[in-house]
This record gives sequence, C-alpha cells and structure tokens, in this order.
Amino acid sequence: MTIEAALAACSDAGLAPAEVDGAIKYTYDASIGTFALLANLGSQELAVAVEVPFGGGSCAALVDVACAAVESGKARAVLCWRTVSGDDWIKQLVTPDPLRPYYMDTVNYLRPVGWTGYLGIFAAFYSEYIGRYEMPREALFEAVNLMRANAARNGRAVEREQVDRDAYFNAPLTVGPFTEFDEFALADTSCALLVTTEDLARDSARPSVEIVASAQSHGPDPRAYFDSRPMTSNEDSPASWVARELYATAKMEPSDIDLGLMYDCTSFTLLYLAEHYGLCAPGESAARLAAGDFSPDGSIPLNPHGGDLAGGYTHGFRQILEAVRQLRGEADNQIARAEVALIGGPPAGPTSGLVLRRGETRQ
Amino acid sequence: MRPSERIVDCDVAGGAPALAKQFHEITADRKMVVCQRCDRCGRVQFPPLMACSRCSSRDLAWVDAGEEGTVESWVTVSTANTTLGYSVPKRLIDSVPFTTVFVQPKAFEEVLRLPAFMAGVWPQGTGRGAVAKSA
Repeated sequence: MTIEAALAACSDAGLAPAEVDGAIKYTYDASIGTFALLANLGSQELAVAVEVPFGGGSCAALVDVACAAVESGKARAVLCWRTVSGDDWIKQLVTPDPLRPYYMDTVNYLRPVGWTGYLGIFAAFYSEYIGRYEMPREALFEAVNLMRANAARNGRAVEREQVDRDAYFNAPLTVGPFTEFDEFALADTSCALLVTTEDLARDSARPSVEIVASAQSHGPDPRAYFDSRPMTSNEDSPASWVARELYATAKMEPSDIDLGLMYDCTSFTLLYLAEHYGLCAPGESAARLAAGDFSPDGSIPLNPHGGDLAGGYTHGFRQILEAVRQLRGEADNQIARAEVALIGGPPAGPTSGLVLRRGETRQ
Repeated sequence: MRPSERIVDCDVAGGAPALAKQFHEITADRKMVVCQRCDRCGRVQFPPLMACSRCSSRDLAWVDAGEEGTVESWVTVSTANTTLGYSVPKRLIDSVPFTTVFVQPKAFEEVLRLPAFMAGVWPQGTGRGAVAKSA
C-alpha cells in the first residue's frame, strides 16, 4: 500500500522515483521504514531519512521537517507518507517501551481514575467548552452529517450515508457527549506527497502547490501533552499557537483563507478547531455550521472531502492531500474559489499546521 | 496533614517509571491527592516531571494537594464497550457509569488540574467551577 502511494505521488509530480532523496514517516504506522522505502524506489541518493513520532498532531509536522530539509539545500525531493491499516498503529502507540514513553507515562496517572483513551481527551475539552459557549449535541449531529454529505461526493470516502436524526439521538452515549457516530471512520489507507524545490516543481507538467507556511507547537505548557492536555487550561490550545505562527509567517489573516482542512477525530474536534485556527470567532462555530458557512458552497468550507470522520482515519494526513487537490481544482467535491488552504492539526500538543497556496500556472 | 505539606522526595533519578511507582504507593497508602512541587522555586506541577519546568531544579517533592478544589472539566463514561477510540479500564468496568473530573486544588494558585474519579454521571445542569471534595 505504501509503495503504491509513493509511486503514485512520484507519477503525479512527474518525478522519477529514483530522484527521491528524502523520506519522512510517522514513527507509529503500518508501513515500512524510511531506508527500505527509498531502496524500493531505487532512490539514487539519500539526503534525509526521519521518523516523526506521535499521531494526529504530526500531520503537518512531516511537511514542516521536509521543508527544512529542502530549504536548507540538503534534499531536493522528500517523500512524506502516512499508512494506516486497521489498529496496528494504535497497538504500537500503547505498547510500553522505555525508548518512547509518550503514551504510557500519562496513562499511569489517568487510567486509575477512568481514562478511556483519545475520546476522553476531546470529551474533556467539550465539557470545558460548554462552560463558556453554546454547543448543543444538535451541532455535533449536524457536523457528522456535513462530513458524510461531503464524503458522499468523494469517491475515496467510506461513510457516505446520512445519519437519521432518531438514530443519532437514540444512540447510547459512549464517552462524554459522543455516540458511535461522532468517532472517526476506519479504513486501510496510505497517503503520500512530495515536497520539492521550486525549480523541480516548476519543471513538472502537473500544477504545483506552494507551501506558504508550516509550523509546529506544543504550546506554552508542554507538560500537558496530548492525553494530559485536560490537566491544564484549554481556552487557548497549542493549535492557537500554531495558527498565530502560520498567519505571521504567511503574512495573512484568517479572512485570506478559502478553505479549512481540520483534524476531525470527532465531530466536536472539527468545530472546536475552526475556532482555534481563527476561521470563526470563539464560541461561534455551532451557529456558523447551522448557517451553512462550513458547507462546500459556504463562506469558509471545511473538509470538503468528508475528513477523517467520514473518510477513514489517517491522523489528519489525508487533509493535506485534499488541500492540494482543491488548490489544483482536481478534487471530487471541488469548491468554487480555492486559492489558499489552511490545514490544522489537533488542539492537543504537539501539533502542527500548514498554509498552502495554488501555484502559478505553467506558461 | 495540611494541604501543600511535603510528603517525600521525588525519585527523579529513577525516571518516569519510578515516579509513577511512588505516585501509586502514596495514593494507595495515604488516600490523598498529591502533586509535585519544586523545593527550590516552589512551582507545583502534574503530571510529574524529572525536573522543575520553571527553574530546572531536580530537587522535587511529592506534596499533599488538599481535599478541596473546583471542577474545570469532566468526562462521563456511559458504556463499558470498547472501540478503537476508547476502552474502559478493567478495574472500573463494574463502576460504569462513572466520571473522571479535572480538579483545580484550592491550595494552589498555578493552573493545575488533577484527575480524579467520581462515581456516577456528571449531574446535568452543573457547570464548570463546581466544588469538589475528596472522599
């Protein structure tokens, strides 16, 4: 699956696989190692091979690292990929290992008081959020169906049917405000993309997309990483810090963004992140969703491909591919005006984000 | 014991596993809510770290976090089922439904939300800032 995706990325970019000289992958996934992938591509030179740990927060971090390698002149064509197959990655993530104590550390303190895994983090954010703003379960229901409506127009998505109102509100609650419908879909998927120099991109017969800004952050309180995030204040999340850095680097305002590709492991995460990335004001997302602003024909479309919620979980990596397709005008559910896209990682650190812009048309 | 009273040195040299072991021993023996405090600058922190996040001192101690605080966030677990997204701790399966609360101890000014177990579902209509007392 990984090799297939890698070859498809090269073919799409009009680049011979042998020209790929860098490989960046997530630590926990279902694919082969960086060196093995380069060997399989027949890569003629190795400039950089890196693993980025962690999950959804790293979606744009891979590209951020690739940019550093390309901009420094170290590498010319860096392949970044994400392969998810069943629950392999989650088993790796929760297996105790002193060399990568990320997950089990926090679980020592959370598990005895009832911690359930990732869904609990977002349920805790929800509880804190509704102490400040309105977010009825009606909004979560609408978010699920918006993603499913978008997925229905995307040939690659898995959850394409609308959820009936009675089915949603009669479904038992699982963790916090969530039902089975509010969780991400599962799929066996591999996504790959290439980060290259400007001249290589210009030589390609295919339209390119410019990386205007990339950023990573764990916010000002790094002790509270991912699972332990509810142990600190979440009014301002690490995603807000990524957003500020992205806008500053890109010299843009949220109003310059044409579409948002948000990490959406739950229905709530999608709406919460739209606020943290400034695509609407704090507390406004439920009303903006109800007004249709996040729909493909709305003022700021979100995840026109249906996201991971309806498309199948990729730790948000699929969002980057969709942004590229939208900016090239090649998406299944193409929106009308797509010049600038923002990709936003989760509201628990470490997290990352990207601003991409449609490349100049080849003369 | 008074809130914020020093209990014992943190075994920072033993790393994350040693800190977790100490935490479980103290909470089991003394039935109290604890966190970590820097002997040098007085910063309190949780989850525990191997150095002070403000002054980098390695002289850290476990301290009593008191019996009262305000609930800043909560998660009610309504099912014992399991999906990829969640699994209920085995020891708590018979306690479903239950709630994990995140409590800001009254004894400290720093933002510090200690996770704690609450029996039953979160009472509807109760918002952030509810007073929590350890039992």
